[in-house]
Amino acid sequence: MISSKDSAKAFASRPVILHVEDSEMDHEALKRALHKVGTIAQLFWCKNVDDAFDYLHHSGPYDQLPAPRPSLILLDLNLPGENGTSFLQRLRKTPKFSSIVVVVLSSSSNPIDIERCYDLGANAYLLKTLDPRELQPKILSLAQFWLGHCVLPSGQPREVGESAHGAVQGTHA
Amino acid sequence: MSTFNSWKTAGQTVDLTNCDREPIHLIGGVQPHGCLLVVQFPSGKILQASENCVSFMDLPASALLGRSISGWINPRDTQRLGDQLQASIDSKEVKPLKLSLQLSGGVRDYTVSIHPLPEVSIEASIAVLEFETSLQSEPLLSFVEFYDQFTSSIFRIQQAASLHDLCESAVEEVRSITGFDRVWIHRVVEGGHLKVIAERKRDDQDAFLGLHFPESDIPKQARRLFALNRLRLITEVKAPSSPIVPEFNPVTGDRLDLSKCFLRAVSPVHVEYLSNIQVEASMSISLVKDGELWGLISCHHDSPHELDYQKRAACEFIGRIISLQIPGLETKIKTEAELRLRVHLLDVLKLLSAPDVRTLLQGIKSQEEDFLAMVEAEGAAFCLRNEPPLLLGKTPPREAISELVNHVMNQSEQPVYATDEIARIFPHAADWASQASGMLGVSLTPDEKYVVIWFRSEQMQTIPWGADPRKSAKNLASGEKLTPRKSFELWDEIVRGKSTPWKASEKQIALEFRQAFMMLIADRAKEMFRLNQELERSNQELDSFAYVASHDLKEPLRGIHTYATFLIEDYADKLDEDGKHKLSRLMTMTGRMNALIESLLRLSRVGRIDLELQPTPLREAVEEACDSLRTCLTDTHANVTILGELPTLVCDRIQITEVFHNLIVNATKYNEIEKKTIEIGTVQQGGGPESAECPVFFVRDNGIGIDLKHRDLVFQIFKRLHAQDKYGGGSGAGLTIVRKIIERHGGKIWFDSSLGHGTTFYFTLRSGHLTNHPSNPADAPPPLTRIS
Repeated sequence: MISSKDSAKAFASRPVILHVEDSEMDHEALKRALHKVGTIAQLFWCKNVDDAFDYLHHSGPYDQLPAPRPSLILLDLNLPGENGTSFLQRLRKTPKFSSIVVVVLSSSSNPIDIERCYDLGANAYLLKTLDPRELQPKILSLAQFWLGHCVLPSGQPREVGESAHGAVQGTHA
Repeated sequence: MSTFNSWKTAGQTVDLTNCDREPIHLIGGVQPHGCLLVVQFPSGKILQASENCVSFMDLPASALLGRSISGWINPRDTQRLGDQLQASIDSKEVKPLKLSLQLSGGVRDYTVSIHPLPEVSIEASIAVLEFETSLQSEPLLSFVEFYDQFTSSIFRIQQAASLHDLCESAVEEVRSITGFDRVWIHRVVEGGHLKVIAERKRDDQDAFLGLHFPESDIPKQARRLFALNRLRLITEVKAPSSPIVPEFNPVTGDRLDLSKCFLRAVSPVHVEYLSNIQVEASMSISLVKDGELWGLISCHHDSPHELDYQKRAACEFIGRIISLQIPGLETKIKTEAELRLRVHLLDVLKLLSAPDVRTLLQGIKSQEEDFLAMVEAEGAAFCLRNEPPLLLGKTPPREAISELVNHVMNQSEQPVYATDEIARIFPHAADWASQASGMLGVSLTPDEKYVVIWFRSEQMQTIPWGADPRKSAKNLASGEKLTPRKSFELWDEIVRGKSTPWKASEKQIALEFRQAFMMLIADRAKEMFRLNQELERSNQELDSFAYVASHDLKEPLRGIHTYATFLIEDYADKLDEDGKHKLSRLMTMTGRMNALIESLLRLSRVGRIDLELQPTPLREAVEEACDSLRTCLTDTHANVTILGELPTLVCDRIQITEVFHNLIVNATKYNEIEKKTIEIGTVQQGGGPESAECPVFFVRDNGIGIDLKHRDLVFQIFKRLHAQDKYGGGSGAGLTIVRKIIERHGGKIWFDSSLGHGTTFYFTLRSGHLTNHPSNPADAPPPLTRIS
């Protein structure tokens, strides 16, 4: 389930985007949009919540497959089985992944959904549009902002409850 | 006992003005057909005697006083006398005794009636002994003969199936036993006067039957004595009474209380009264119900008439039997009457299953007869709030009903109000007394104006008085003296402006109707509540269905659109113009469908989301709507004007803004005029206070107008009146959403239009209290549940 064409090592320095989306068509549309805006980011694709957590934990099929830590997760809400909000909730409760930037990409314009996602710690909420070509400008801004302007968290694992002092010591060691 | 010490037997004047106070039980004398001794026990010492003892015992009173009675009777009889006295003390009844006196002229037999005076000491009792001898004319019957004659009378009386039968049998039997010329029963009727209800008389006598006699004909203290002493006989009205000597009892110091003595002398007033009407002998048998005098069996004879103890006892017994029968028969009459009412009530109650009040009223109208008969009324008015009352049968004029309704409603302490004389409360009611003189009103619900009033017409009553009651003692000027009347001055009193009075049973029926009606209202309210809840639930389900369905429809639609896009992108060089055109048509179609789904989503969301009520200046809502439409308004050369002031209402600001938004969009869309004008304002409806709280808003345009034949289609979802691409397209959900929002605010929307000249939409917002009213929106009452 990896979309990268080349070996993971070769792209080690490129930002990683994880797309959690069940619809192939939507993934295709995203891929096209990313391609068209000319980003260098690597795109990985998980089709459901379980798959996404396997990816993040390097478990299941990702035991063998490359699964680099994403800088950005693009999350669909309407997923088979556990839905996107549930994924978001679990992710934010997992210290290792709680700081990963999550941008929701959904077709739901329901204010309740929007409110809930931000409440659960989504960093942004983008609406899928009927016309896939309208996705391009959104993806361009998204890539420029999150992968360009923003300084993202390093993603170094840190123990829950560890003091700032301890963390500094750990870096020195 | 001696409250009347100043009272004088001789030379005293008693007339009708003071005869109410005449102490007739202390009259101090006996009638001459028997003699009386007052004897102290156990000594047997004679304390007082009537002067006529000499003619019964050959001994003057003076020879008797101070001596013991045991000197004239044998020891066995002395013992029996003591026993009967004890029996009388125990039973508080007068006891009879056959007694023989051994006199110088030989042994003489008497029937003695004995009763004690109130006890003065434990050791000594004082007894009153009344002696009578057997009548010369009628020898004493043997027990068997007496029993035979008497039981057949009792049997007839007991067979009586109605009060009327009972009274008829009673006068018949009493007359046959006693041989009096005239025997009749008069009963105490409402107001205290007496009415003759049964009579047997000599053919040559005038009838008393049906006559009324004033209350004063039987003074109060006489009534007391009648209740105490069930039989009163005056054998010879004109015969002088025989005084009791000494006047005061040597032991008690009191005058002798003759309340229980059958020999009690007749008061001078009564003698005059009877003499005036040529009565020589009279008898009264008390009919007592619940300790009160119910009526009297009265007997008159135009010559002296004696009755022996046996016959008196028989008559008294008949009186007691009748008294016992009265409550049962009265209850029977009452019950039968109530049952008759109740049959009608049951038929009326069946009507209460009607689905609403209007149907109920129709039902009552069609069953007018039952509705009136259940309280024996001739007319009725059924009033519901401020609606015109339903009038049935004979009623007051329509314009008089409302004050009567208010009067009934103001009787807060009791739900049922009854009067047999409306004119006593509303003097002008005399004008329509022939239609309605009596009313029985009932407030059906505690706080709402649901009132039924039944009416009875004037019962012009002629009361035939045996004597003019206006000439009774209480109507006399002071100083004026009224003597007993010389005869029965027949006089007809005519009573006007009154109906027959309402009986307790009829009021009860009215009360039961009220209870049934209240239960109906409560049931209706419950049912309505349940239906409302059900409707709300099904609306909610429909809304969430619409939401889910639309949401799920969007995904594949987006897929179709996206792949069409990919096709054009990837295969543009391989497709010819026609292929590309068809793909772009496909994308247009999906675009339209997407718009429809969006509208459906929007609509279902309006239904699902709770209103966020807040005070909203509607001018601001209109301005917000215009701001969001700024480009559209500029492009279409449309001008929005707010006419006058718009109020501040408590409503969902966002949704109400959307209402104005959609109405303005519509007004610009369906308008072909170069200079489009849209006017927004409120109209004042004429009328009650409700309209002040509930302004009517309007949004008026000068557009193409709506053909009124499409009136019902306008608000239907996705219903377009014009071609798809005409007037800028649109999903056709705008007005549906508007209506939904307005209805959620408890308001209504409608429109008026003239083709080619423009359309005006009107709407109200019910949940919006004006903020200058001090009420809190959270306290806003829920929509009223009415049964109509």
